[in-house]
Amino acid sequence: MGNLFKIAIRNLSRYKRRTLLTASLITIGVVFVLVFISISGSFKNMMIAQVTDASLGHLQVHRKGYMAAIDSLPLNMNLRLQAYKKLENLLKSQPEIEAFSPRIKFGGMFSTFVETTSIRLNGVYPDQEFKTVPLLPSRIIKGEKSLNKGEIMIPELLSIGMGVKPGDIIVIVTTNKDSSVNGKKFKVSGVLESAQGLGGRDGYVHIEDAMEVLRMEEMEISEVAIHLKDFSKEAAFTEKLEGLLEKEVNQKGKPIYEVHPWEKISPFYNIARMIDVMTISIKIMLIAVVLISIMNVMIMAVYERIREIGTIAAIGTLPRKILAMFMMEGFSLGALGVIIGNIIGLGIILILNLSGLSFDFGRQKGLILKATIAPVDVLIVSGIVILISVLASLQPALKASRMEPIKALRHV
Amino acid sequence: MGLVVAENITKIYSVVATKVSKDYTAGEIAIRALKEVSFEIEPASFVSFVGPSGSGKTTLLNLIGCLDKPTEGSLRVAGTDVLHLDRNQSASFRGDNIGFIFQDFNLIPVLTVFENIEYPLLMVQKIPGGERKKRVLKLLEAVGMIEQKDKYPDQISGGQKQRVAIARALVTNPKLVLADEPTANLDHKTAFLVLESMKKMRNEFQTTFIFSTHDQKIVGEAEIIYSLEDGELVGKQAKGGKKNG
Amino acid sequence: MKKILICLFALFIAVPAYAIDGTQLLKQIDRNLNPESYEMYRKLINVEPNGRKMEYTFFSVKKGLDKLAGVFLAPASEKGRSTLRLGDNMWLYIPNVGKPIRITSLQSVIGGVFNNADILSLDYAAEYNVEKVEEKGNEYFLQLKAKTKMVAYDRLNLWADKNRKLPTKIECLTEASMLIKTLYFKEVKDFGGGIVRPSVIETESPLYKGYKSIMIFAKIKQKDFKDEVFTLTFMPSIESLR
Repeated sequence: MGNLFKIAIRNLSRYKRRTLLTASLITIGVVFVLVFISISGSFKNMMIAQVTDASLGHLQVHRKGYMAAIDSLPLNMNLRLQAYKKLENLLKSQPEIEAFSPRIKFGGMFSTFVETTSIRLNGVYPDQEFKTVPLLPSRIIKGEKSLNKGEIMIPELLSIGMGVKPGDIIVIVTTNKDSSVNGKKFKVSGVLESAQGLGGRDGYVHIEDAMEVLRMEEMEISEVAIHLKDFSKEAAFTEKLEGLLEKEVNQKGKPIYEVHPWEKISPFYNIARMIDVMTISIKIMLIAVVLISIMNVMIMAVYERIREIGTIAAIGTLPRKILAMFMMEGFSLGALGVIIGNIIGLGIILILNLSGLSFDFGRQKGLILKATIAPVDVLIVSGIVILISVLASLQPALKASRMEPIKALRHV
Repeated sequence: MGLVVAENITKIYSVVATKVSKDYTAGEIAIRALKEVSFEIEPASFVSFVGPSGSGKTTLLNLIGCLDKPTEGSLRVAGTDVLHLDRNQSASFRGDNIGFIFQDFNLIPVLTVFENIEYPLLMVQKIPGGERKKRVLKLLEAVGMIEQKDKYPDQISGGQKQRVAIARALVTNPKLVLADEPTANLDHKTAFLVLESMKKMRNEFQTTFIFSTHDQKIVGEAEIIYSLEDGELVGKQAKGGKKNG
Repeated sequence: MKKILICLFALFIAVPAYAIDGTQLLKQIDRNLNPESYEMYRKLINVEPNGRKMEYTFFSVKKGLDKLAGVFLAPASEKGRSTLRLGDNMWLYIPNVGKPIRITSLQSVIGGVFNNADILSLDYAAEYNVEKVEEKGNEYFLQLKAKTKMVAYDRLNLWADKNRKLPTKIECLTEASMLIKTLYFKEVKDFGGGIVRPSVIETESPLYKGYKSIMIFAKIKQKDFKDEVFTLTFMPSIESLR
């Protein structure tokens, strides 16, 4: 094995420029892929965190049919207390859940006494909500990072549009489930930066205040947001929860609950998917580059050494040894490109991190990019390149191993 | 491996050819390159096949060297019927039993002189390192190339290359060494030197040497001369007695 | 030649003299519906597509052209909630809140098909110009266009009984004549004091399919009020006028 390697290296060194060019091509490809994966992966993860940890949560549970009607925030489609309690007990017993937060979602009028506009609100238990949506406090750009009874957190747009600041007293007027109208004064405790997607422009009040202004005798819940301990297990947990909840049916035999993972709620999921597709495409491009460049070089190498191949075949080298020789050459070329590519690629990623690039995402400005790449990704990319290098040299190597010594020896 | 076990009787001969014929098709024309050639070669002989180009010398050497198969007739090399060997078996057989010397030397450019000679021991047979070094050095001395052992083929002369080739051919202790026009690319003085080396090797190792040439001056060095013309064996000459080592 | 021209000219002048004065007619319709200043008791009923009914009792007062105020008397959840209208401006007072908030006429404070402008309505002649008036059998047909953009409905098609000069049907439309809602005036009743008018207004809207709202007039009486009744500070006390 070592000798095959030695011969392979010697042969590659024979045409230094060609070897270097090909290896460089592979190196450049590897660098691009690594840097792209690190940037796009970090971007994607940051954005998903922004979306899930800033307002949505990892997944949500509603009464069946709520999501379809969510635009109108229907009060008649909330989970009744009993249904919620059942859900609550179920969720409490799930080890994967870090925190969950029940929400009463409702729409109403927001008035400064002088001007009135509409607002969408979430009634929450502040500590549960902050645990479930950990980035929510960081969205509070003015005022207190807390929410007490009698207080309201308002979206930035409303603050600017209506000229309202922390400390001001405002009125929320809302239509109740029975169509009566009720109002309540609130003190503005904080102003929230918008988050991307659904729910990004909602205000927040204490859940008991919501119950009061909606004149709820017993608590009804519109939505339960869930935060998992391990986000990477989200898909598996969603399936598990769906399985558990599907069995809960009402008197008509219809399911009570519906589960929505964040992907189904946020349009950003499509962007995340697109990033994944782009990553795969760039990997495919790399594969194509490696495949073609190595195959090209190996075909040339075999052609140049036909007589040599004839010689070693004549003196008794087995066909599979000849095959191994050439495949080792292709492998070495790929390995060379990969090793240098990894070094340069990881170096660039390190530099990017140190330079602290920042970028804007929608209304959020100045997010710092942290380019990271998982070691397993590096291994996968390297593995793919090496595998393709070996496969690319297969056909030329097979051709070499199958040559008739006589014909080969006659070759010029 | 399925090699035919040699019978005791035929061990005496290095090569036994019985009515060997070889046909080629060049496009639509069928050419009979060898026509029912029969001969026997004893071990440790120094044999030359001679004839004009197109007479079938190379074809015959290729058949003896198991690089090709006869269309008709039977051929036994080193006691083995070589007609039924497949590609892998042929390669193995060659590796164990036959050494080759080529007109164009055909040394591996990326290997040193030492490594070129070492090659068959490493890649064809599997001889351990210590033993390999011993054998290679011995042969380097024998062909007088010990000083150049670390040089690359492009750094030595034609004659030197051929001497390296001889060493390579012998390093596996083959029963038979085949040389197709070994001196065609050398000047006369070097040619004689090369043949001297070959003879010396034959003496030392008792290997059968078979070479082909169309050079009348060189052919005289052989002890047995077979003449070929248009694919037919037209004559055999023996010179003096065989030298036994 | 001169004679023919004079005849034609005379005809042109004569024709308008025989035409109906739309504006006058509209003013009459207004006065037939209610005095300019009054107090009024009404029941407002919202019917949902599933048959559920919500009933509200509403007491309202008007002064002059465009001052209105009203307060909910029932149900208990609504009691004490009052609205004030001055011209194009409206306010809502919720006892919990303690201070009136400004709202718009198109918003609906009780839900249902009636909106704030429907409940606290001004004279038609105050808000609309008559574009066209026709006689159709025993009905008048008027096409009305809003005087300003602040008015709730840009166009109205009004059918009125020729004899009584009271509306039978009103279609409320957008500028582009898209139908927003239709009001049906029914059951003419004598309320005393010379007031004889439809006691029921039913409304439905293509925008709220399946929903119906009904306004039942229980009592209408001409009455004068001080200006201070129609102020923000008086809003908590409107019930005291009863």
